[in-house]
Amino acid sequence: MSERAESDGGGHPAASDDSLSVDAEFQQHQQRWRRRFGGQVAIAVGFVVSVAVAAWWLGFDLGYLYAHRGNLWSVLIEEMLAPQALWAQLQGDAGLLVLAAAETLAIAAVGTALGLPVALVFGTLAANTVTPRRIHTPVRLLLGGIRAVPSMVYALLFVILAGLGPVAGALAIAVGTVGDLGRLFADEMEEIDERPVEAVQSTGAGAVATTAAARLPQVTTAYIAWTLFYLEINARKSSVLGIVGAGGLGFPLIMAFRARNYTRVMAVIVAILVLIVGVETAANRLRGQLGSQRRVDQ
Amino acid sequence: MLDIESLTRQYGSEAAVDGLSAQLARGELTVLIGRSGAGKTTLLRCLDGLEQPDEGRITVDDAPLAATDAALVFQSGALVDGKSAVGNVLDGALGRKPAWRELIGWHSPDEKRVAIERLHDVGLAGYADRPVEALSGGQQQRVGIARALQQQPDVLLADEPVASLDPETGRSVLAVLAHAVSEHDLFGLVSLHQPGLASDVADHYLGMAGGQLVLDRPAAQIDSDDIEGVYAHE
Repeated sequence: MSERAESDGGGHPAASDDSLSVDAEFQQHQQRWRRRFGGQVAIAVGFVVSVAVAAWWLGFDLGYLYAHRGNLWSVLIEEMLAPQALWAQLQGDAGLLVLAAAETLAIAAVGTALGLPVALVFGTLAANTVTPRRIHTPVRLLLGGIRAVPSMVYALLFVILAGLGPVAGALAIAVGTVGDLGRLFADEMEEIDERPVEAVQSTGAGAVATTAAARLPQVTTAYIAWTLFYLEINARKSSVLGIVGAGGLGFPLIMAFRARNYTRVMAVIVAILVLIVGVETAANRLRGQLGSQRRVDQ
Repeated sequence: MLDIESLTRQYGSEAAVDGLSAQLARGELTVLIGRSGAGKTTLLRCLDGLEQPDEGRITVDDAPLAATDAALVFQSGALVDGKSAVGNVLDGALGRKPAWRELIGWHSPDEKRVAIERLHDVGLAGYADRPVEALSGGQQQRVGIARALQQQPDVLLADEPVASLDPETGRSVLAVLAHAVSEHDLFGLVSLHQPGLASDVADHYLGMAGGQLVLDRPAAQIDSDDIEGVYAHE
C-alpha cells in the first residue's frame, strides 16, 4: 500500500511534512464521506416515505384518478375548450368580464397602495440593524403573525366589516401586503452596508435622519422591485378573492362553477389570464425603465 | 513534440493571435511572456480547447489535440466554492467518468485515492476535506494544479497562476508546476507577468507582442535584455 504513495510522491520539494500518509487520509476521507452519504440517503428515503404515507392518509389513489380521467377530459374538451362555444361566451360576457377585470386590477392597486406605507414603516422597524432588540423582535413577530393568515380569511373578515364587494377585497390585499412586503423590506434593510450609516451617524444625526439619509437610499432599488413583484402577486390574489364575495373576477368564476356552466368558467379564466399577463408585462417594462434588479434574499 | 502551426484567432477585425507557430518539447516548462493584451490568454485558451482557432492547427506527435489532453490552471484558482479540496480535484477527471457520479456525489474509491495523492504531490497533505474557501491564495492555486493533474493531461497550461500571490508563494507554486511537468513528462506552458520568478525552473521562453511571436529561445540562451525587449515591442 505504501509503495503507491512513494512512487508518486517520494522525495520532492513540494511535499511538506507528510505526517499524514495518503492511505491514512484516504481512510479518513472515506469514513467522512460514508457517514455523509449515508445520512443524505437516509434523509432522501425518509422524505419519500413521509410523502407517500401522507398521500396515502389523504386518500391519494392513482388508480381512482386514472379511472375517472374521462370526467375531466370531457369537461375540458367538450365544454371548456370548445372554440365556438367559448368565443360566443366571451362575446356575450364581454361587458361583465371587462368590468370585473377592471375591478380586480383596482382592488390590487388600491390594496397595494394602502399597504405600502405601513409595510415601509414596519419593515424599517423590524430590521435588526436599525432598532434595538426590544423593538425589532416584536415587530418581526407581528409581521409573521399577519402573514400567517391567508388572504381568503382576511377577505371573509372584512366582508363582515365592509359588506360584500371590492372594499373588503382591497382591505384584505392591504393587510397581506403589510405582512409580506414588510418582511421583505426588513430583510433587505438588514443586508445594507453599515459603513455609510456609521459615517452619517457620526455627524450627530438622529435616528430618523440617519435612516432617511443613509439607509433608505441603499434599499430603494430593491424596494421598488419587490413592490412591483407584489403588485403582480396581488393581482392574482385579487382575482380569486371574489370567491368569498370580495369583488372582482372571482365572483362570476364561483357562480359559473356552481351553475356548472363550464364554458363561462373558461371565459373567466381567459379574462384572468389576459389581466395577469397584462399586469406582468407592464410591471416588467416599468422595472426595466427604473433599472431595478430584484435581489434574492438569502 | 507539440506543434502549433500558423495559429490565428480573431475577434472581429482584431487578431488576438496572428499566424503564430511554435514547437514545445516534452518534459520542458516553457514560460510565455508579453504585455497585457498580447494574446497570451487567447493562445492558452486555444490550446485548452476553450476557443476554436480561426486558422492553423495544433498537433501533439502529429495527432490532433483532444479536449482532455490539455489542462489549464487558471489565475486565482477558479475553484468551486462549497466543495472540499478533494471534491475540486475530482472535477478534473469529469471528462472520463459518467455524469451520474457527479450528480449523486459517488466517486470510485480508486479515483478518490488518486485525487488525495495529487493533493499530497502539490504539498497539501491533510487538506482533502477542507472547504476551498477556507484556503489561502497559494493553497487554492495548488488545488487548481492538482485538479489539472487529475485530468491526466498531455499538456499542462497555466494562465498567470501566480499573479495574485506574494513572490515566495509564487516561486513555490511554480516549482510544483515544474515538478509535475518533469515527473509526468508533460508539455508545460505557463504565462507569467513576473518572468523573474520562473528563472529557476524555466526551460524555454516564448514572447508574444500584438498576437505574434517575438521571442523563441531556450532558457540557457536568454538574458534580461531579451525579456525586456518583448515588453518594449509595439
